[in-house]
Amino acid sequence: MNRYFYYSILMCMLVNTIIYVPNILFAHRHNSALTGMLLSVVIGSCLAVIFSKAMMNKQGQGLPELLTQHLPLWIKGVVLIYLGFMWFAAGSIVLIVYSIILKRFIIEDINLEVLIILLMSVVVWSASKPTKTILYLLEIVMVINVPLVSIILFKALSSKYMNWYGIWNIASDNVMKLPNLDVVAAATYLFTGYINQAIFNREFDGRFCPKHLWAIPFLGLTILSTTFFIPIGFHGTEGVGHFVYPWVSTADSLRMEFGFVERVVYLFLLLYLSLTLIFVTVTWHVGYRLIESISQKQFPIRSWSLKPIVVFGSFMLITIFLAYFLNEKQHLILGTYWLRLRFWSELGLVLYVYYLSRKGKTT
Amino acid sequence: MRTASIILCFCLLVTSGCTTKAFKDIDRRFFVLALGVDKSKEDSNKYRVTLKLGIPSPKIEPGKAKSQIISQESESVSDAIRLLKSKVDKELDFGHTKMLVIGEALAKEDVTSAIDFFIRRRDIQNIAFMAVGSPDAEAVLKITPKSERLPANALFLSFDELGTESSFIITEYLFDFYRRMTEKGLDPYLPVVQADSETYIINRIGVFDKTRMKLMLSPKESAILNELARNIQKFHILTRTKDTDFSLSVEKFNRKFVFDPQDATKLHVKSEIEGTIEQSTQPIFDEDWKKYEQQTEQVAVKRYMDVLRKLQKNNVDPIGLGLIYRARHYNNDSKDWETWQKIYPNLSFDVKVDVKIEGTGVIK
Repeated sequence: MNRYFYYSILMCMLVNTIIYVPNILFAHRHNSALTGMLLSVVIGSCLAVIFSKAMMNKQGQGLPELLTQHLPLWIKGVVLIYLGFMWFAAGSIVLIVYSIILKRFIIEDINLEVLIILLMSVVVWSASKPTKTILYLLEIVMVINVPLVSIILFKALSSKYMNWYGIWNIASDNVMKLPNLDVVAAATYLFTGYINQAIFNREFDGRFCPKHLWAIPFLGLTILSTTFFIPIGFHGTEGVGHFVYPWVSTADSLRMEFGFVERVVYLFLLLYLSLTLIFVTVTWHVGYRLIESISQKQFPIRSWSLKPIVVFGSFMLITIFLAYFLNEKQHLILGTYWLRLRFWSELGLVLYVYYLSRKGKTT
Repeated sequence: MRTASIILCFCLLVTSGCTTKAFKDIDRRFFVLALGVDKSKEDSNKYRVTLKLGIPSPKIEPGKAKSQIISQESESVSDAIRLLKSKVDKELDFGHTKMLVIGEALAKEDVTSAIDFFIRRRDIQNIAFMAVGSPDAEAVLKITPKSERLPANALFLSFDELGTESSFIITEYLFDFYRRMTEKGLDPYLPVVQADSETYIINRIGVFDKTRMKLMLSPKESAILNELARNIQKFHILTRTKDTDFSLSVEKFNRKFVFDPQDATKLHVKSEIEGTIEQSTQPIFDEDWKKYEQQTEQVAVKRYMDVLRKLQKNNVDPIGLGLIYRARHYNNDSKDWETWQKIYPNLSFDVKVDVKIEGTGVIK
């Protein structure tokens, strides 16, 4: 079962190109991006290790069970609703941004809200399934996607149009700058996949003990540097800041002479369609489980349980409203603020969970 | 179960969009294969946009490629495209636009707004080929070579490095051109396509500063720039001395740019050339090859020197020496750039070429 822990981490690492991480890094490319990235590799992997150690101490328990033992009901309710909506926001931002990309690059004339509703109905249907099903789904999607990711990386790294001087210029000139909070908040996002263990821990049958935790910083550093440096190699140290979706434009700059399609961008969009859907499914599922576990009651109306309808209904409504009322610039600002808030919340949550797990051990 | 089937039916209704305007069938689309932008001849503020539309035909045969050319003048490129839509009966589709041609007159003036349109538009590919059209883009698009099997395919094949491979043709993609327009210390270039009566002549390169074409290189200089900037592997060097006259066909080539660690205004260009003799006025096999190698080296040094000096005199940098300087110096980036701008006009080149003759071909 322990491999599922890594699928979740890998999924969050790969989805970073959609959730504005590259945009934030490129905005700081001439000063603190590099040092911020290195610092976030340290912070991100430390958090991952601490959290998974804490969860190893509490085999078979999710975050809600852990909180129930130590917090009064109303505080637990507030914390879980807050966390549930943080998870939901992650999925929601990715869903909206990917829908905009899909609309722009594939089907220009479709109505954005219709597209979002179509994607959301798929997501909600699969997110309301049991946790085990979601984990199996996650495995299938990751196994299909990792080869596609490697093809794109190989095409990019072997291209003659990749300019290594630009990359070296950005990398070497900025090693002495002080890290900036925005960059750290964005870059630590890559490591955040471990946090889904808050719910997945229930399904590991009491045998959650991931080996090779040392692989997380290496994997993270590799993906972080490809995210950051490959677009610089293709669009130049100045031009890279001009693109709204730098990675889509980078994929569009790759050419597969002998592939099924010449434009790599279609392979990229196809790959991110499945990644987006699985990412939103996982985040919304975890968000739903967190909010749902506040109370054990089912609140049935006839044979239907009210809980998923209310939770997923509010998720869908908020997403539609966000997509309808905000423009692309406001989405970027919202995403940046969310990443910052997430960084502090995650820091607090991981340390608190670690404290709880130690406390449980000594008494 | 019944609810699920109702939802499913609803989804089917939503997605069956062939009748709405969102999804158009392929027979209701015109595929734009090449796009040309010229300066208007009458009104200097206007652009003249020309599109080459592919007409699908049941037979694929050389010389049977059918296409339609439409043109429109307007104040902006996007406006002209809108007006062009009223000239055709089907929806224009830019998803297969692989050739972007800029007229020579426009290239000499200012290309920024045309390039901005290309790169900003979502459906024009970043991997579209770019070229300067001489005498203008429209003339280039109007030509249909006899060997062409698919509309505009001759142009695509010239540039995509899968068809002809010539040391005079330099391939430039849209994304690379945009990078060069924005990057400090790396200037854009474009191949120049000249319209002949029934075919194209592509053997010159136009070198740009950030906004306009500053100089057009001769065919010989173009090949040398192609070697220096793109490190192409297939070219030849002609050596002429008092007693010999031979040409070397190069099979292996590599060049390196290194700034002198002591003297910042000195650039070492080291290159290695390996090849076989392709043509000679006298037998070479039994002679001392060292002599011929040295003669070729002298010729090669002079070739590179001439082009490097010419680019320097015009203050353009398509090879990207400025970027190499920025990458190799570890001060503040903007400070490096300022220093480089002062250094480049006075930069001295030290070209070293190492030629190795591998053989003399089939005969001695």
